[in-house]
Amino acid sequence: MALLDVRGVSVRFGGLQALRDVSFHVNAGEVVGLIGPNGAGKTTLFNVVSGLQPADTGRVFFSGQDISGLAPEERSLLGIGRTFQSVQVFRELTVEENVSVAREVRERVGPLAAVLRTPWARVEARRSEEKVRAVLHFLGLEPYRKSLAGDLPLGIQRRVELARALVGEPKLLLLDEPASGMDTAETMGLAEDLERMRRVLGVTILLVEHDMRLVMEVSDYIYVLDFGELIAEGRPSQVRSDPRVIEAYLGGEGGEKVGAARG
Amino acid sequence: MKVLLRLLKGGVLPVVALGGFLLALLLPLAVGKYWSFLAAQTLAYAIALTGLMIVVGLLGQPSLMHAELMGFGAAVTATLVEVKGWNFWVAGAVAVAVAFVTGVVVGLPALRIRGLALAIVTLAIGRLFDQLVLPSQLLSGGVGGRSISRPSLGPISLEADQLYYEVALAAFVAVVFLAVSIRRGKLGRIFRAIKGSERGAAASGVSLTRYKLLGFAFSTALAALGGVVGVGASGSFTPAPYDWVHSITFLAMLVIMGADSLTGAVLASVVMIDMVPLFQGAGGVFQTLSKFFEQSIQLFSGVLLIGVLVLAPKGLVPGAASFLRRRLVLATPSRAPAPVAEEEAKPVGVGRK
Amino acid sequence: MQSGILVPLVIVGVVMGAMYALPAMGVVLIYKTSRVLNFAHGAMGMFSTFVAYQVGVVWGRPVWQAVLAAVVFAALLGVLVERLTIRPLEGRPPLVKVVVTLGWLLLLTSLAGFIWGANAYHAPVKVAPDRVVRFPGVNISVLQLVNLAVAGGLTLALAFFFKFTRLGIAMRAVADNVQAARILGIRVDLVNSAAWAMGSVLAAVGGILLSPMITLDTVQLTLLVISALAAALMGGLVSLPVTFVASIGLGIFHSVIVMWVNTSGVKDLITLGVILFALLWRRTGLARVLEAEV
Repeated sequence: MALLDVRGVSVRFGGLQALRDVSFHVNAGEVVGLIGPNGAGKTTLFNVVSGLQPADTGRVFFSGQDISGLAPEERSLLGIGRTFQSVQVFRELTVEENVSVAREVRERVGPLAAVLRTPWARVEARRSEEKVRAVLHFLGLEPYRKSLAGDLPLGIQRRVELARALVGEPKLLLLDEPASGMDTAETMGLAEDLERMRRVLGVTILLVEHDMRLVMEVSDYIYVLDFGELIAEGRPSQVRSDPRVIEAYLGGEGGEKVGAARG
Repeated sequence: MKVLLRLLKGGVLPVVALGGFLLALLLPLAVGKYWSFLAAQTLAYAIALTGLMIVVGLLGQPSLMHAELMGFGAAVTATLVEVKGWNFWVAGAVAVAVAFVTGVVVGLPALRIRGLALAIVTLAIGRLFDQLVLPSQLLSGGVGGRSISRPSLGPISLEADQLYYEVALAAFVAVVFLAVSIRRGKLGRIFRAIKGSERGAAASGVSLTRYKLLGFAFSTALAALGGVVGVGASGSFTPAPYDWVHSITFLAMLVIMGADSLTGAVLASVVMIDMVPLFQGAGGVFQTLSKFFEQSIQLFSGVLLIGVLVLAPKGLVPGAASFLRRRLVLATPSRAPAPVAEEEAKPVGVGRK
Repeated sequence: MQSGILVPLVIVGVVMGAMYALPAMGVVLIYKTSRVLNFAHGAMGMFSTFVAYQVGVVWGRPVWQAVLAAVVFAALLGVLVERLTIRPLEGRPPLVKVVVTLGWLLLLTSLAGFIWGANAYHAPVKVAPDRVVRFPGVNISVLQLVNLAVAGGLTLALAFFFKFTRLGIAMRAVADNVQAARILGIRVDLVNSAAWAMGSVLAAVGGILLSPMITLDTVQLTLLVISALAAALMGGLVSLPVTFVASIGLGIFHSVIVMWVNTSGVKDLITLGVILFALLWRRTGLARVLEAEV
């Protein structure tokens, strides 16, 4: 059974058909890449899966459960974590607090009990603290623990978002262009991080990324989206040589992307 | 130097707060009846502005109706006491509870509307309170408004302004404890997370519905509590001091002093309530100034608001605090330069076709 | 019986609506180019109207001089606000800019109260004689006709301006895409100043024409911004024609409602309803735009 199963999703923004009858699935333990030219609908698809964008038609199943009607936070609590292309860190909170928030909403203690500091709340608080520290360590964010997230360089902010997603122990992690704005060395580091997450934490990853080298290297399977439609899918080697994919990237404005992809 | 910083953060502040509290407790001994009365009024406004601080400073949602909500608390209390003959404290508690529910209802649009749009909505709702709710026969009982006698606390009469002030102080201290524990705790973190990024918060498992409504409800209840304490002090309710201009002035004053600072809420109240009497009391040139200031609190807050936003974005109190900190401790924890926020490459909305 | 008063009420509503339309289009104009929601728009119109009052009523100068003075003042005020307090905030969150316009609202309202008295009666500047024109079945005052003509004329002039003049086309370009406009060599700062000046003038004209129909004081015209914002929201903050139509509709609603309920607050209830409708049901991405910008 697929961990994530998206069936026949369509989204329309006024006159723009952002997604047309898109179906795909992600199996547990895989790293799946989702690629396509700018404006192909990748981020919209992410928003549909994470619940930020209601689909006009179609359904989304997670671990066999129909989650189409669930709110974003409910999906997050079920085990779908995500990061954003335009970084959405909590700028006025420290790095540690950014991660804590995502952990604390998973505590089985009401906010009032937390204010009153009941014994159970204290036990939970200690557990949360340990978990947060472990995640910060995992991603090498300890030096920035007490810095305000909004003051940090973009690359670090991306890692803060990643930590925030990981602290919720997601089964599925949606990463929206995690390498954008990173140099080659940082991108290599990211590739290692992804591999570690899969190996150590057992996270399944759905990845939108413009850096072709990264996608081809880390993905087990790739879907290609163009103008809101899936035009190709397969193993990285198959997709790379697929004429429709080359057409999508070379035709029209997508041409520059191949250059940006450095191979 | 590091020690100084830590003292500033953990050691000195409680000491200062405790000292301040003791001084506040003894204030009526030093000043007379009149100033005790004004001080109680100031605390009432400080309570209401703390409520505003929760929505604006922590949750990051604008509200242009908090004066009306404060008036609502005062009106409900005065009505229950005058018309139904209820005990003042029971009436006050009911008023706060009603306001809490009102906060949830008013907060409902805030679930789907944020930011600029919410400013418009709250302005329009506030206007509705100005026109329909507060001056209504039910709450105002006609043009004269309502008047109630000073409540007593069990057998103790609070007729003396000095004594009533102590009760107001107790209410304020309770509010400060609540506000501080919200701010420092889990709830405050969640609020500030929502302020930072609603999408990020939702994707991290934060229920926007629950926490925004909770924030609005807390805030509204505190505004109403301010109204209750205020009407107990003044003994009368009329809608005039609780209209839209005052709501905007509330927001302006809070932003001027520092939208997410408790000290800011208190200082804003002091400026709004005590500046004129202070100047009057000082005599001479100040007497003349007080006349000017009396008519021009709005003018001042307008000019100051514009000036502060252009020159000291975080407000006067946090601005001064960070200035002092910089002076005291040259090496503050390293702060990387703020990165330029990245534009999201998605179809731009209606505004740009 | 009821239809007997319905027609005059609708006519009053149309005229009122046309008066809402002027500041509402000003709000849209300013929002489109500089991305600032101007809460001080009513206050700016109010202050300019009082300038006309000062010249025309207090100093007793001819009406055209009063109107001219107000228009020139309004244009200068618009440029002043933009230059001094909006431009320095470039790159700051839109909410901050909104709060700055709230500062101007407070400043202008209280300053006008200082100069002209806050709760006093002020004779309005009369741009038309107190005469009534008899149409079959209905009487219409000359003032109402003049108001309609000016509002309609200005709306058409705006449409013409955007279509054919260089500045108008530049404004559309800036509204469409600031970066691209810059690359094309359009002076974005000039365009912004011009938009603020024009928006302010529209509010001034609306204020002057409206003041004989309501009481001229520092509050009424300042609060006109709520109706203007409601109409502007119906137009998605971008469409001038929809804004115009929505203004007329709102005016008719406000006027006709007295047939059933005669409480002053009911108007505000309608306005609030329109605002919520525009934001919640008419979600053609508008709410999303406003949200994304905070």
